[in-house]
Amino acid sequence: MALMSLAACGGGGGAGEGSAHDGVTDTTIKVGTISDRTGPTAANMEPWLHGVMTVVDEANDNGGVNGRKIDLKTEDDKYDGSLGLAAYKKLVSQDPVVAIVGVNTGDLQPIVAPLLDKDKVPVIGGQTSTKSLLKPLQKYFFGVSPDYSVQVDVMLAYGQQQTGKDQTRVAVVDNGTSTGVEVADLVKERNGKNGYNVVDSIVLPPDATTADAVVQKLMSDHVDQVAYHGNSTGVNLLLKAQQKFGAHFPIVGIAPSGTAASFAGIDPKFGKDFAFVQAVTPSAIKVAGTADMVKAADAAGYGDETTDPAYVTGYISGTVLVEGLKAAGKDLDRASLTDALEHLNVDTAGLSGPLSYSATKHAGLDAMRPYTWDYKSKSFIAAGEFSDYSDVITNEYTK
Amino acid sequence: MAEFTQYVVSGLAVGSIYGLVALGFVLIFKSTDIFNFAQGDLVMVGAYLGFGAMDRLGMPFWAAAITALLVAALLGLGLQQVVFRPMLGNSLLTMVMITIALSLIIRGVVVIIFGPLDKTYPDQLPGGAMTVAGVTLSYVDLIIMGVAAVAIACFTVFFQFSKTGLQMRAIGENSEAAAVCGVNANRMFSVAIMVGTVTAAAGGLLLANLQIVSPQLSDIGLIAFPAAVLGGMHSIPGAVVGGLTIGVIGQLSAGYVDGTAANVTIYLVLLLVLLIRPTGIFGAREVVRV
Repeated sequence: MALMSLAACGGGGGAGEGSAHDGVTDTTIKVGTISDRTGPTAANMEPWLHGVMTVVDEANDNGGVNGRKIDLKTEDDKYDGSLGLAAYKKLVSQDPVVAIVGVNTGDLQPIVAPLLDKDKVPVIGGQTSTKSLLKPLQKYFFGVSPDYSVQVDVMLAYGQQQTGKDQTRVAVVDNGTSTGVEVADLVKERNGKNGYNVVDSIVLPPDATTADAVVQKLMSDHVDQVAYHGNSTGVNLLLKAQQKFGAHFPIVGIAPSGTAASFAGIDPKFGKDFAFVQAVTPSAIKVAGTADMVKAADAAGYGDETTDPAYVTGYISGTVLVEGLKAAGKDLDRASLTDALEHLNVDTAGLSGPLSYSATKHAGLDAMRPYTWDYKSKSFIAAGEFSDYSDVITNEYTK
Repeated sequence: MAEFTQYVVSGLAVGSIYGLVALGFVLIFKSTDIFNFAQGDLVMVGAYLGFGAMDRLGMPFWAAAITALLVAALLGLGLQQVVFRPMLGNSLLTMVMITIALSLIIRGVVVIIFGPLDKTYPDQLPGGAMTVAGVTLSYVDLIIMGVAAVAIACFTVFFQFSKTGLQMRAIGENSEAAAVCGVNANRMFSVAIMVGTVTAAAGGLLLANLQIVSPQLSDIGLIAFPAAVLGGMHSIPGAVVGGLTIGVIGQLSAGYVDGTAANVTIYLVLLLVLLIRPTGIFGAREVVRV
């Protein structure tokens, strides 16, 4: 594995007798995942899970971690907070695991956040980190993807840059879920700052059939740029409606909104209006860590998914897990793993910006950049370097 | 005014799909008294069958559509023989539970076959749009409205003038009396469920040109329920009018209020209509001799 733990000095929390209760035996380590496997965001969550599985398979093929094989218990929350809570409780107490990776569904995070201190189970983040898991700092949560405040900062800055104007009329379109409300609120908080004039906040529900009415409203309100929260289906509807009405304005979406499906069936003249922000580097863009990731993905049977940013995010989530388990040492339990994660510094070899944790920093990645779609090569193109956008990021939840 | 007209036109495009799906739903209910909660899933199946034919067999859209409709007809026949026929005569609750189970099974099987990842139709229908009196009409919307209108017209002619259509209507009115007159009830049930499955699949094929193909299409297909109830559960023209009404209300709500208001408004209108006309817009009050 090319990704290495640079400085991991996990504490020797007592494993011993307690290990049996934390899903750790002499030969196996039980780890849980909670993600939407069959619900409305499955198209994005499955590649993420495959990324996690790739790293776990690779570790197991190499003899496991400190002599133990990882036994991954995958739970499907179907994008439903109540199902997610049932899965969380199962993994905490009924079929105990030493750690949970994911808790991806935004609606689930505020439900789980108050339980972590009581249950003392480390949770490694996935594609989404909401405010509930970061502010105030949660001892047992270790984020991977940047939180929504970081995403909104980059989304707005890039959208404004595309308009070429200093003052822009901004609209936020969200899917009406709790995370959608969070993103809409973050955009509205920025009204009057940096030339952003927020004029519209519109909901495009996940079960919408067309976005004609939304785009007509954006046109009648003379919107210059749109911040989008939702999945690829919603943004595809927006682009189709833009194409239908001949309307051009930049739409910049949250990380999970960007998949190949977002651009499908859209004339390139209108497809170029959409970009999404991401913290990872898909394999179409070669960096030092790409070759090893692709090799591991091929071995795990997910070789065709490495161009998907969601897969790369999962690969990094899995890497944090495996490096944390290594650092926790032989006396592995939830306490020792939490301690190890809190001192972990992971070199992702260019697959993302810097990723490190400390006692006061659990958010994970905080560098992002926009991506667009190249219709010729059918792959994503990065708009600049991660460092290009560091100046606009306010780290509102973690500063 | 142009804005209002635009919302109405967009609503009619989507509503024509709802109407087509509702037509199949009403047909099955009218003929068999089965309230088919799996109708939305049959919409999704139609979209996936079309995708499979284009993506895996390399067919053009028109050939894929015909193939999908033929497979849907066979699927309908299979469902009639294996699921619906044995449940005829059972209590309403039993039938509802069986169709809910069928819905979950269909969704699960589709995910197993095609996977949970989003699919998209190749861009084969003409893009672009035309503007008439300030109202933008995309070619895709026009094609969808045209195909839905032709399909609805064909089914209407079939029910009004063909021998099988008349027999199906007779079964729908009074299955025992029709059977006494020599109508083969089982055959008519099979035809009704086949046609209902084909209309759902046709709705899915059209919807997939507006939407990404995913298991969530079944939720959109479920909007056929309020459309059918609004028009009148026993009325075929009512299903079409109900679908168009729901489509237009949804677009007007999304345009003038908010996206989340669409469902609220649709069900509010449904509630008001049912309070005034419990049998729906086109439903006839049942007269029972006592």
